[in-house]
Amino acid sequence: MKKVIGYAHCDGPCGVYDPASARIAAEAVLSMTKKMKDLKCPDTSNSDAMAGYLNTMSRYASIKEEQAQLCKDELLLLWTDYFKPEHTETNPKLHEIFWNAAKLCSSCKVEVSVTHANELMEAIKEIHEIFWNTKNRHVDFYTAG
Amino acid sequence: MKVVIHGNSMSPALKNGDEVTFDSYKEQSIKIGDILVVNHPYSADKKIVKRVSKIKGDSLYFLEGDNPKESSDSKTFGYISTENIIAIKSNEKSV
Repeated sequence: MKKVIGYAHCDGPCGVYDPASARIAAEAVLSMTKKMKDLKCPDTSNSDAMAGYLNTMSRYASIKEEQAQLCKDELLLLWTDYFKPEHTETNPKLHEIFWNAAKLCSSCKVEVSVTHANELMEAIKEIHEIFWNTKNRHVDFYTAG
Repeated sequence: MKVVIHGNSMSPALKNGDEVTFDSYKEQSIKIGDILVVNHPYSADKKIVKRVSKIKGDSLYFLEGDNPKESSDSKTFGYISTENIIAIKSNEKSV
């Protein structure tokens, strides 16, 4: 009798994973954090200048919030969908690395911290290396900024 | 047709490694509860095994895994049409 394989898998249908999605979002978080830090507060009695300042600061904050959440979503997707139990055998700290990276996304939302935004980039670099090692491929980590 | 199950999205009815006999699809009537082997809509070489949970008209079928925590199914790829159906295992209890 003809025998075929019937997949009843949990993976997404496309099977395309890449930590680059998280890296791009994290870079946006870092960029917005720096811009918020650098934006100079105008004379508070100048209403036009204050309106422009608040508008710009709000936009920076909004993008930072959005991209930090996107970064977390991308990391959780990799963690729960791509990585399998056998990957923890060669990377015993895998769960801790992802957990800390997800926590850093939250910190970057709550705070305006260049330190934490840089730590998030470092965490994603580490995940990038682990990820490509699982595929026996060397892919250089790079940033767009 | 003998189908070797890979994965756990149909657990507990069909478990990873089970060998299950399906009937080749020859336009039999399909009911909610039946299990189908279909061509994956986005991956031509891949055949997937899911259960019919909804029927639209007489040619579109919404497929879901029995194990929702471990299933990629019509919730992600939408309804499946009859031309993608390869085999069927009727659920005698379904109505």
